[in-house]
Formats: sequence, structure tokens, C-alpha cells
Amino acid sequence: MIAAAVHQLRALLRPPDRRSPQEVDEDVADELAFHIEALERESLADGASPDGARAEALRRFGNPERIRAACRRIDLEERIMLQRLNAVLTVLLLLAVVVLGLQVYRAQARSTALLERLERSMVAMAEVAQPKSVAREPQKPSLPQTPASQSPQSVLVLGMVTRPGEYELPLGAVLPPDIVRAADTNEQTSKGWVECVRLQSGGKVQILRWDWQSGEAFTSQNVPHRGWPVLGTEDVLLIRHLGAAKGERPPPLPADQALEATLQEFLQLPAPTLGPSARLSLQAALRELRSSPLAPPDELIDRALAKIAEAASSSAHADEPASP
Amino acid sequence: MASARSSTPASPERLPERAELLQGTLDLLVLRVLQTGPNHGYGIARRLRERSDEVILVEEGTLYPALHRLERRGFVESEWRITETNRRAKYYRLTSSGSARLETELASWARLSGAIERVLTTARCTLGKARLEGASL
Repeated sequence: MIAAAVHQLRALLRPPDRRSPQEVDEDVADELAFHIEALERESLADGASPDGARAEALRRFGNPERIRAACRRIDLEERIMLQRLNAVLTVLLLLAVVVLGLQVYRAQARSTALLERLERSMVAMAEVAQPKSVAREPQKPSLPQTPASQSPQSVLVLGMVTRPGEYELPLGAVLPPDIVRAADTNEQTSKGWVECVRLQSGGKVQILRWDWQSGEAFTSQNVPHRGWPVLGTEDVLLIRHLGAAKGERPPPLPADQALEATLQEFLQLPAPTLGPSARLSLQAALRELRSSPLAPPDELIDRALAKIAEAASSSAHADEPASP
Repeated sequence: MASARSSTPASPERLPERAELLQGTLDLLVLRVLQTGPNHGYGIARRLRERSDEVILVEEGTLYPALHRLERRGFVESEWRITETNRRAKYYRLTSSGSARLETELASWARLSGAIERVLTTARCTLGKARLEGASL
């Protein structure tokens, strides 16, 4: 029993036959030829003719081709088995790689889908948490907290600013330099004169202009204004740059003309992309202008409303998935 | 296929014209011949012929698949040598595993042949007794 096991172990540990198939063929052919020639010599010694000796040798030996094939099969059996095993293992390995690749691909697709869902959920949660969504504003700069209140309020800043949109700021914050500076990162325009039309609920309008260099505030007629007005919830600020040369003041304008000029400029600008709540606030503020003492022509308000509606419509189309 | 057959027309009475060797017997015979020393295929065939008084005459080529199989199993090993006639020949030699295998096979063969002998002897006795009883009647 133990001897048999030891023999099996030795057979397993035996070094493989390193001869090539051609060398195996040659060895077998040499070996068989030696035997057949010896048989021939025997017959010749017994007095047979060369042809007869050859025939007798083959008769005694058997079919050399059949025997050669049998020997070759036995000698190469191990190698053939190894080759088959190798082929099977290669196929299995390839299959494993393909299966693994598919699983990784599926896992990645699942992860991507989950991340997208998570992102959408987070956006939805953010919108729910902040009903006043900001369409193009990725960050909401906050002004220094005033001790009066901790509650935030939203202000919509539009017009000639590089980052129009809704901004949150603490209750009791004052009109602009900070909010406009946050919405307008253009250094050149931030150095000149700026006019801000403040649309408040109920159609109330306040117009204030100021010089970035001196830091002084004025009315639209260039009358100095003392201090900065406190902002109210849902104020809409329409900003325009007055383009006055350095050291000069812009030409004074009556409040109604200043409002009209601001609206005209607003119409020239690309329509801002706004979220639904911001758009509604702006539309409401524009409609309420009709009842204002400074009411601009209806046609101007209509055009502004149409521009906003058109921008909202094109934005909605852009959000729709492309049809096949 | 290994076979035992009448060697020459001069001794037709020794065995029927053709009788198959028992399976595995050829391996046993080859191992037994190699126990006397290394030899090539032709030498092994000649020894088999001589030792069996030319009763066992395998179709000599059938020795080679048996030799190659025994070599693959590790019971014999081979090397190429130059013969007395200056020819290149492959010599086989019994390994230690082959020696152990031979002992096992010999014991097995002894049991088998003994059993066959006993069966045949019993059969002969029964037949002889039956014949005697028939004659007495």
C-alpha cells in the first residue's frame, strides 16, 4: 500500500519527457528499425534470401506503422494531456476574465446610477429646503451677520452683473455694495458708477447709484444719499453700470427715466436662467410696477415679461431629454 | 496483440496454432526478463523465445508498446547504447519500482496459476472417476 503510494508519488515527480514530437518519432523509428534489421540478419544467417529475410522479419515483427503509432501515442500521452489541460485552463481563465469584466462593468453602471440618483435626490432635497432656488448661482455669498436677526432672506440680483441670481443674506442687511460685489466679479465694472433699481413688493421703487471709488451713494439725480437702505425680503435689484469716466459723475436722470433706462438695458441683456421661484418673484415685481408712480410704459413691462417667459420656456425645452 | 503460438512447423503438437496470452502477462514476462539485466527489445524477444523453448512467440513488435508503457509508469528506464555490432540500440533496465512490481505480479501469478491448476486437477479426477464407474457398469 505504502509502496504503491510512494511509486505514484515518484511517477508524479518524474521530470517530463523533454523530447520534441519529432525526436520521439525518430527514436521510435530507430528502435524498431534495429529490431527488424536484427531479425533480418537472423533469417539471412539461416540461409534466406535478402527479400525472404526481409519478409520473414516483418512477419515476425508485425506491422511497424501500427506499432510506431502506438509507441508514439504512449510517449506523447502525457504531453497531449497537458496540452488539453492547458487549453481547458486557458478557456476557463478567459471565461473567468470575461465574467469578472462583466461584473465590474455592471457594478460600475450600478454605482454610477446610484450616484446620479443620489445627486438628484440631494438637489431635490436642497430645493425643498430652500424654496427660493438659485438658477445659475452655485454659491450664495453671505453678508456679515447682523445682530438683529439670524433669519435669512432672499434677494434677486439681475442686470449687468456677471452672476445674476438669488442671494441669501441675513435679515437687516443693507443695500448693495456687498451684494452687488458678490454678484459682479468684473473688476473693471466694479470700479465705476453703478445704479441699482430696487423693486419692492407693492410696486415700490427705490433708485440708488454709487461710485465704487468714493463709496458715496446718490439718487438718480446725483443727490447725495445718506447711508445704505436696509433690504427687504424678496427685493429685486436691477443693476446697470453707468459708464462714467473716472472722476466724473454720470448725467442725472429723473427716477422714472432711470427706471426706464434700466429696463431697456435689461431687455438688451441675455435673459437670465432663473429657477421657478425666482422667476415668479421677478414676474410679480414687474407686474406690480404698473401700479407704481414711476410706472414705465406697459409695452416695456410686457416685453420684459415676455423675455422672462421665453427664457423659462427655452430652459424647460433644454431640460427635456432629446427625442430619438 | 501478444500471443503464444507454435514456433515452427516441426513442433505443431505443442500448442494450438494461436493462443492469446492472458492480459497483463506480457508485462510480467518483460519485467522478469529484465530482472536478469538491461536489454533491448530484440534481446528481450529472443530471451522470451529461448526460455519458453520457442513456445511463447509474441509478435515481437508488440513488445514495444508494452515497454514504452512500463517506462511511462516508471517500472523500467531506458538509455541509448552502442551494441557489439556497432549499432545504436535502446536498452531497458528494471527500476526499483519495477522490481517491486515484478514481485507483486509474480505472487499474483502464482496464486492464479495455482488456482487454475487446482481446478483442472479436480476436473481430471472427477472425469477419471466417472470413466471408471462407466467401465464397471
